[in-house]
Amino acid sequence: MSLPETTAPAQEQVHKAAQRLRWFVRAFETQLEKTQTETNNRFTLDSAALAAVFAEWLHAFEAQKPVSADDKRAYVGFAAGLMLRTLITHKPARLQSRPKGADQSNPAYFWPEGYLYVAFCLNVRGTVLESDFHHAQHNSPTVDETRTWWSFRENVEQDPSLAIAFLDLFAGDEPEWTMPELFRSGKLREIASRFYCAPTLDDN
Amino acid sequence: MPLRDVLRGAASIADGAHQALEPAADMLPKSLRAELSAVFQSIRSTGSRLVAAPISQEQIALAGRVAKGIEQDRAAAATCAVVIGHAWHHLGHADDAGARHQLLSETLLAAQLVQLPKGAVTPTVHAAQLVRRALDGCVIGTTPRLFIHLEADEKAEITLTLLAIVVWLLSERGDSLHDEDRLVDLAMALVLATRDDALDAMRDETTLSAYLDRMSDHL
Repeated sequence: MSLPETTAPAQEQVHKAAQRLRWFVRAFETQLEKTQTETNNRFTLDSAALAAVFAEWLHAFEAQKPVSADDKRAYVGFAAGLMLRTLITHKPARLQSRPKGADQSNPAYFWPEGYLYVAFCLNVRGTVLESDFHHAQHNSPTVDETRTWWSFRENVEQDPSLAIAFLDLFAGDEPEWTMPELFRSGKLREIASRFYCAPTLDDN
Repeated sequence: MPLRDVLRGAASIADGAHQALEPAADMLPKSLRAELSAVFQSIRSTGSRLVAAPISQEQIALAGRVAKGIEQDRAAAATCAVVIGHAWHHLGHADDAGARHQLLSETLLAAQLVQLPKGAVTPTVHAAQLVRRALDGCVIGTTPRLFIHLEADEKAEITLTLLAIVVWLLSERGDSLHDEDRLVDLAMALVLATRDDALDAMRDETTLSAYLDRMSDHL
């Protein structure tokens, strides 16, 4: 899964730019073009639905925005997960066609729209972490595993909030499978881990 | 500017008359029906073409300053009215235009803009006052200035479109005119995506100012 560049204006941090609709739309369109070129899948994009995704994401993003500077980096991953959840819920992209004879065990053809959304969210997540927090994202090999994608698709159809945990998994971070829609600050995460043992992917 | 208002009215009347006469047109001979249709189409396209005066990035920047209350003289107000008229026209031709076929009188709008209170208020409070004055001054409607009854959904569409234009004016400027047109579309999409918040914000100046501040910041 290769990702296009999504840069912000020179004077602005990427995580700030990403909170603006103009940047979000341009970055998503860039991702869509890149994914089309890479996979030969063809999509149609509903601009109104994309704006609705942004508005809903912004609302969810602001609702749990942490106060402590220590939590800001962790919140980048959570915010990207919220974005994936919102994209999966609103479905702004629709597959028009996929190449003849495409191998549907490949995630890009197994679930083309999901693949596009994951690519976009991983890309934005990685770009923000690297440029604003000097932290490299090392995507997990699970992002290319068909078995994980089956589980991903099936689970998010029942509970879209699980997209937040799956994105962490794909990004090589520890997922929160229990109530993934709640952001846990560093301290809360520490306390919670004493009471809950983290289930594995196989439990879902 | 008043000439454009007249042309805009002619184009709109042609549009309305054409629609109103359509059921009766079936009774006319085919050749006459085609000729009548061509006349309406001609008035409509000529009017629309002349109405959509080209604007510059400098004019848009000036209009942005007027919306924020930084510039308040008569000439700046007139420019702001032209820019708002341009955006209104642009949105009225979008695929999902809906009720955005209402007329906007630049002349009446400019007259309202110069009457906005002068003094030290925040940019978004000033913009909220602009929205309220434009709506209360009836500068938009089937026939601006005449208090013709509008359905609730028509009033809502007018409000939402005006809010989108003001959100756009308050936001950071685009790099080109094409970029600006795209930003107007995005502002409309953003306001429609937050429709309930937008209409709720109309209840008072403080809430409206906060809404405009938030939306323009995130455009």
